[in-house]
Amino acid sequence: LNALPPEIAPLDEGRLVARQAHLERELVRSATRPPRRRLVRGGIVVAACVAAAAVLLVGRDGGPDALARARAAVSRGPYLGIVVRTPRRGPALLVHLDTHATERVHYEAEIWFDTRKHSRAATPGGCTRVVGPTTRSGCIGSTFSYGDSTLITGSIDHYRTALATGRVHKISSAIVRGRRAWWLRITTTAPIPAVLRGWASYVAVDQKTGNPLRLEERKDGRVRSRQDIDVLPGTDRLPAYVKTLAQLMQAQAKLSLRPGRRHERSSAAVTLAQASAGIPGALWPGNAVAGQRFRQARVLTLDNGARQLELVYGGACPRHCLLIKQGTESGWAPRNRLYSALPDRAILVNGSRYADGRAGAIRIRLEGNGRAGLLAAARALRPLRP
Amino acid sequence: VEARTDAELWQRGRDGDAPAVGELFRRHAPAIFVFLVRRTGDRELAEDLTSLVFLEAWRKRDDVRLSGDSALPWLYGVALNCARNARRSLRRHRAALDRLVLERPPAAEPAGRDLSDVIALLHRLPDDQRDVILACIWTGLSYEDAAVALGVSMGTVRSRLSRARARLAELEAGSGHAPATPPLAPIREDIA
Repeated sequence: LNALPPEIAPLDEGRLVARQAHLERELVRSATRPPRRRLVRGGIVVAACVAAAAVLLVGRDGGPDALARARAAVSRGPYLGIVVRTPRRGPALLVHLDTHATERVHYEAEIWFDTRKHSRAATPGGCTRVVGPTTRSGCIGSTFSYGDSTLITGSIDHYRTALATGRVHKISSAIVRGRRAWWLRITTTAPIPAVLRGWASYVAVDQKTGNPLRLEERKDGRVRSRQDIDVLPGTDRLPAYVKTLAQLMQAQAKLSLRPGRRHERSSAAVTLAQASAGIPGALWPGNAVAGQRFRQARVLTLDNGARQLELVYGGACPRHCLLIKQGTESGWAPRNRLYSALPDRAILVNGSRYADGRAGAIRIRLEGNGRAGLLAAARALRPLRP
Repeated sequence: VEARTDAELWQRGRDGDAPAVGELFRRHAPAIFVFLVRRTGDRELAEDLTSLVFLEAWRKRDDVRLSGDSALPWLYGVALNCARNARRSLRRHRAALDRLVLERPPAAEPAGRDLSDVIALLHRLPDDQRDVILACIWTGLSYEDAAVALGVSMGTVRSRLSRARARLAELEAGSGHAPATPPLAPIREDIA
């Protein structure tokens, strides 16, 4: 015990930066809060007790009504559309290559349900958009993959069933997105795997309309993911751009005749001069980035003859390296529409594994093992001139 | 550019300069995090508690004046208090933590057998002896710094360390590997 204190892996750099920023915001917030004196605190406690009693009284009357209203709001139909938004101050950042300026972007997904059936009408036929000051409009995909919740966004039926079977409990009232809302907690009767213990879903519903306004996944009381929800006006038929499940299956069958992914046919190590000549317009972040040194350049030849340049930084892949892949459009899957929504010469960093962007005719993908490393690499990209 | 000392940063922080406290966080959070993982055995909780250490330090800013060069021993002391009273600390700062929306941390590596065994062994000691082992042996604080961290005299640090070593020797000799109660389970349940 004396000789060997347990080795602890350090805190991820990106999380450290995020927590530092959060701390500074909290200090500013607390510094601007007026000082509280004991008397005032006592008054607040009394007022809170009175308010809690009032809420309980109101809640007793409005409880079942609130749940019935929430259920009715997602049962009208026959088709129900919702728009789901990730937080505007969420983790997705767009890095502009010329100015190194960053801007926040968020994702929006339009999802449609057939309220008469126990499944989504249009899975995954909605429309996902990336939204920011410089992004372009248009769907980048038809699946909504942010977060891991299956409640509401995954299946409206789970939510309706929970409301109908007494598994939803009204927790409190609050102002959410400027509207008076009830916070509802959804419990599950299914056995919970160990890794999910402590997780719970919370939905804020408009007190007036019953519409869901916000969905939060919390673990041990802490918010771990948050999505805002807008319910679209009910409709008798699906919008023309929304495909039914049957239409999607037909489309998938046709698409399966085309190559979805490009596969590597061969690869060869090259010098930086050869890389620059082989992929005109290629970028690189220099000899080292985010503490990882340049190791190798390779040119990959794909099954359709397209070529991609791959720059390798750091140690053994995939855990300890940073990969920068780039090439012309023909090197990427034909259905990948993310690039069309991004402004030119910008990289979208969302999460800690991948970042994507484009610079003229070149598409770029960064693969790493930390958000800080991806951001550093995106900010350092410049023309490759050996 | 000469780096500012901890005391200067803290003084600036007390005067309302939030980035100065942020710099202090940047400087010491990695060490506090490792300290808290060793104390709690839970990376996720240790990460939250690391933030709370600085929020708690800030909350008590009017009562604290740093005297030495480094704030670290004092921060270890705040960290120990936060870990001992994790439930209360998490409740007190729940609103602040709720405003921190982070991606879910990457799945933790399975805790090495050595780490969990050693932490389990350590958790069979009384609190005061466990903390002195953590401060003096695992963290490598001098007796003087450990006294600051633990809020006791240097003599008390020495005597507790001596008792802790003797107790550990007894536990190890008696193959004292009966599983200790996971220290955090009751806290987690209570928070939920």
